[in-house]
Amino acid sequence: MIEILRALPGLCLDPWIGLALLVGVLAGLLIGALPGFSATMGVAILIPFTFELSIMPALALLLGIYCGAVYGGSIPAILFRTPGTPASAATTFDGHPLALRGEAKRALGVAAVSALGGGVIGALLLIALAPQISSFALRFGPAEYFALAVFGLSMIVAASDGPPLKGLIVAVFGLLIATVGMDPLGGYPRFLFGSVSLMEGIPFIPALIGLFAIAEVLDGSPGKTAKNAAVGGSSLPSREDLRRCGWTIARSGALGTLVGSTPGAGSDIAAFLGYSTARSRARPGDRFGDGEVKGVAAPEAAKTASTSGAMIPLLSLGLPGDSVTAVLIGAFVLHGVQPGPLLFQQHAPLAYSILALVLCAHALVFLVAISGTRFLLGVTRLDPRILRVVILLLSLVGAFALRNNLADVWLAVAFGVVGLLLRRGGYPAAPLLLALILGPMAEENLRRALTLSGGDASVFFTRPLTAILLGLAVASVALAVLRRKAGPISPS
Amino acid sequence: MNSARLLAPLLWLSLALVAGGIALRFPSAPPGQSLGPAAMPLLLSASLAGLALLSLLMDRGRPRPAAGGARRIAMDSPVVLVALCCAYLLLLPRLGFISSSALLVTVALRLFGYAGTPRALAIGLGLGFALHLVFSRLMGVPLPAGLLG
Repeated sequence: MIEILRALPGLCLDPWIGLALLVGVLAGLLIGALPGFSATMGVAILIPFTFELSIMPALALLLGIYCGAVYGGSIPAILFRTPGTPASAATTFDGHPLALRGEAKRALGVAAVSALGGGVIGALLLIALAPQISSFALRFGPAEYFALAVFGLSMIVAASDGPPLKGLIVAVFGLLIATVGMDPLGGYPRFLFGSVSLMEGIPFIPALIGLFAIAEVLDGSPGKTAKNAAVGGSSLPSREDLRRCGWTIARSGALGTLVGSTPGAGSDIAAFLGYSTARSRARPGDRFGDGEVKGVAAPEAAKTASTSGAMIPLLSLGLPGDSVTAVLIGAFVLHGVQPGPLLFQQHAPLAYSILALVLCAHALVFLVAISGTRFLLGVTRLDPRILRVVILLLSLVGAFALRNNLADVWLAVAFGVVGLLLRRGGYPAAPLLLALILGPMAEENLRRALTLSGGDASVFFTRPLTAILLGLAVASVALAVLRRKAGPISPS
Repeated sequence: MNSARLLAPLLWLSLALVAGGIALRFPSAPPGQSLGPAAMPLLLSASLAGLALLSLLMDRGRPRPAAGGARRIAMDSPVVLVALCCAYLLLLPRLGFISSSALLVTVALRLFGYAGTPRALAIGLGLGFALHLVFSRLMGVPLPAGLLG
């Protein structure tokens, strides 16, 4: 901690680092807010802009984009029910109903404060617990990873609106879609139907754009939102909201850090877990699914904290915690920094400066988010018809920008139709999204675990951590079914 | 039983059967592995079929919602918008990004009831140019140039 405090003044007083961090945060917020532009894509696209920079401004720019994009996705999620990033999908559940009630500013304020809280908690835990958490994650074998994927899916099924059976159907459908492409272990092509574009599987970004952005436009929702979201509260949350959300932020921040530190489990899983945990602890009078501020605070705190969590295996082991940190590893190496166990021993000042940069980035995201709320809300005053067309065009271009491939745009439109049909049939779309993320991880680790055990399936019940995770998965779905039978929590 | 309620589970069931049928043709497990490429798709197809059947059973006896009469397709209905997106994607490589985007925006705005074609066209061209600047010039995305750019 002392090392961080020593590093902070140097970072704050260097105008180039400050400028790079500010540019990174602004770019990240913009990238995150654009449907189809993920933090991964933002960092990857902007890496060439850091070639001419020295190491600290370069890292400041990249970390600023990372932290900014993770928060930025929540802005369209709240205003238009169109998450800019997968991790922001959970924020739509309660953020958007708040916006529909004319409390968009309140929702954005709670989101900004929760992101700051989660970010600071995550960064402090990163500093304090890095060795313990990373050694815990290192114990994970294929069976645990499979169980983690099942657990993640069960949580989203349990947290989704509507009957759990419909959520389960969509999750299984998503897992089936995730098998499209080359078999992860043997390389056998599956469900390609002659398409070369599908060799690497269903690209995630077009699916996300289709399910959450194009489906919205097809359904006509952006217009509905813009009309009602323009009535405001205050940019900073009230004391009452802070009091209500304090524990939720703290708990989700700790949970998000833990999830983020687990390789493969990124901010999307953290956000959904944060939300479902908060929902499972709902008190009488809480209106989850109908504009509950704790439903905004939980995923925001969890996903922001997960960025710090993802830095734990990155910095201490040289392993990426999620897709963004995988890209960041390349950027670090490009600038002569080799993340791994020797980083803290051989380049301690640099390592602690990176940790301090993470803290600064979260603080700057908060300041920009709060001061820019008025501007962001200005978007809602646009003619809803124009807004609807802009979202449609941005979605189509965003899908193309991923691989410069028109096939991806066709796929996005197809997923838009799927999203619309799901919505009209009362099926939640979020389990499909998570299944696409977790599917390959689940299949690969299921097969690896069974191969290692010689085909003995008891490996999933005899390893304590695996058994606990699978037990929790069954329990969370069963609890959701029972809760559904007992009636809704919300008085509405 | 309501036919609309029946439709969704039957669709899931058909999808599961088709996917399972295709997966049956995948090779068995290679040497040294316990499961082959068919295992996961078959497991998931069976699960989806089971859940679809369960859904069918659970929907039996539920009250049927009021049936709606025949409806005309609205100008901004999803069907029209999807057709517009398909037309845009077919035109994009031929006309180029700016021209086809301007057309998409103009037609979509008119479908949504936005008054004035010249104004809609101006918005379309403005959006096309702005996005071209951001994506192509600033971010290096090679957007289709086409005949008209």
